[in-house]
Amino acid sequence: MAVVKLKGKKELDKLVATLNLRLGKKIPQQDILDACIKLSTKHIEELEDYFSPTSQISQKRVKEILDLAEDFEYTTSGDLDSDLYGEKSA
Amino acid sequence: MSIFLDTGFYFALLAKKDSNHAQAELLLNELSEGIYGHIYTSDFVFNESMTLINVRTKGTRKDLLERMKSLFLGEEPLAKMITVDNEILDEISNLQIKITKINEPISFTDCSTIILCQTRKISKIISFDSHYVGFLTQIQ
Repeated sequence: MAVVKLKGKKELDKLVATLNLRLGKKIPQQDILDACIKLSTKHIEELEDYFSPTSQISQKRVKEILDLAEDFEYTTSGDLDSDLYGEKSA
Repeated sequence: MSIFLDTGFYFALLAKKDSNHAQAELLLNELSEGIYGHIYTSDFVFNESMTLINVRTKGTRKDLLERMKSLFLGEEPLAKMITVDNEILDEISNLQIKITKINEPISFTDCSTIILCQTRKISKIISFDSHYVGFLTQIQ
């Protein structure tokens, strides 16, 4: 089995201390780590974002998007929600 | 750091006659520079954007629906789409009930955007809508 090294040991110690203080009882470090893993699997998108580079839109894509624009005719009340969901009552 | 794209921004990008079109183009360029971090939208905003095109053009422009679709789906969508989970529907409807005022109704989609942004810690939104004042920092 591979050995996993913790880079944030101090942060883990702080987390354990904070949790123990808040709950008024001692939760083993191992249980807290297991809970962190369980919770992370429920928030996979946030974990994905944490490890993903910042979103980038290429200049090629920007040009493509700008080229999609058109001077087309449309009807509107001037309000997006009114157009979608009907006039707001007076 | 991250930002959410709202329906009005998508429409303004495609519609040159929209009063916010020039601003939407500027914002698109800023987004491409990566200064706002991760870029998000939602499936509810996708729904609204497609419907808005259809309603405003009275169903006459399938090609514009295709263009709108290409901004959300495909190989290079403008933003990462967050799906509204059943788990947060109760929270969204509670917010809608709480902040709805007489003659100032707010859509379920706008409420979903507020909840999604709060949940995902997205503090900024590109929107030309006034409903987000007090909830999110609007970039216009």
